[in-house]
Amino acid sequence: MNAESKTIEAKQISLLKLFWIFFKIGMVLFGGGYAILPFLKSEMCDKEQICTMEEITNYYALSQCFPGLVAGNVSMFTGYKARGVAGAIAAVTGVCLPAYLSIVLIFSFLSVITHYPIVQSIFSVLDIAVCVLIFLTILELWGFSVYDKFSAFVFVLALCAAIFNVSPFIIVISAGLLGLFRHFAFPKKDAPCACSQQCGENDKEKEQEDA
Amino acid sequence: MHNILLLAFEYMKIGAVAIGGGYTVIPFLYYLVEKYNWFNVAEITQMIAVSNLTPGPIGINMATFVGVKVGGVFGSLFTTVAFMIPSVIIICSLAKFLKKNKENKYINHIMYGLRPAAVALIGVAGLKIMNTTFFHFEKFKTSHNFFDIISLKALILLVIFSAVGLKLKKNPMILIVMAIVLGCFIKI
Repeated sequence: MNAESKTIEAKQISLLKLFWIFFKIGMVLFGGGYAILPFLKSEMCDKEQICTMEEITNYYALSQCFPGLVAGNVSMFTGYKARGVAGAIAAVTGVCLPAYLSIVLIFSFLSVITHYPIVQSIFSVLDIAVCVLIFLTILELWGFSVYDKFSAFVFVLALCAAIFNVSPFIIVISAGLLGLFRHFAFPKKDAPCACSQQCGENDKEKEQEDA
Repeated sequence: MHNILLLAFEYMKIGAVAIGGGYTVIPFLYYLVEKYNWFNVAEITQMIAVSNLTPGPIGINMATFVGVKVGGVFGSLFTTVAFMIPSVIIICSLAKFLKKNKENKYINHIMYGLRPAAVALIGVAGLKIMNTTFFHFEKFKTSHNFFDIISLKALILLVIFSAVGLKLKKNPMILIVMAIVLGCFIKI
């Protein structure tokens, strides 16, 4: 990937405007983190020319590999590109605020209606849909998370630990340490960077779109 | 107030380790249920469903939901902000770092181990929801009818939803709306 050739200098943009752009994106964002990409493209690449689509794709791949919400992380990367740390904070506040406000607004309404039998029936059907959504998410993550012997080994280990109710904090931290330990035990083996793998896939998708 | 601070602290820890988006928070919600009893297991699926219907990142929706539940509007503000603090720090320092260097191999190695574990955790959370949705051992104990263990209607719906979900991979909204409409007519 020759990322350098595709980066551009960010144009000047006020923090308030940055916040407002991301607030608008946050209002129309439904579903998982990938849903943010088309909005980011139209607002930040085409209109404001803060960054290129290649950069956004890189940010997206990185966001999946680091703690936090994918949509929030992508927004922070883009905001950082525009205005540094202040820009990152403005962007993430903007994108999260609609989500926060909508839940605060409907919460009291929701706690009133959940006593009706029909609402309970709706929620029992929703449980099934949620199961499906969770397994679709796993399907999506699977390709760049579990793809060789070592990652399959970690997966099985974590699965067993989670079934026996080991705290998720302990599982996540020890899995990270295991990855680091593997590096020191077998220094010659390289860790395949799933980030770049993901970038490659996105590039392919883009090429297909172009064609 | 004590509860709010405790929840904010717990959520800050979650924000520091939950990798890969909103759904990775779900296993931690089960952990909170077991440890504190602030809400129950049935409410977790409710939160996921509502979060899919409301705008914004799902993780923020859920954090706010938990926050309102435990400490009202004030509590939700604390929880949501606490949830975001670790990733703000991490991403800002990463963006700064990446400006100078392109990659760090140690980060790669850590992430190499972390990702499969995150997938496993989400998987187990899914299994837990399935367990309460599809199997009714309590009913079997009283009726001794084998067909009461597995809910047949629920299984049929599972097949339908999976088919629709696989077709419309990128749009969870449709699945949720469909479930709401069906829920008005079908009783499981």
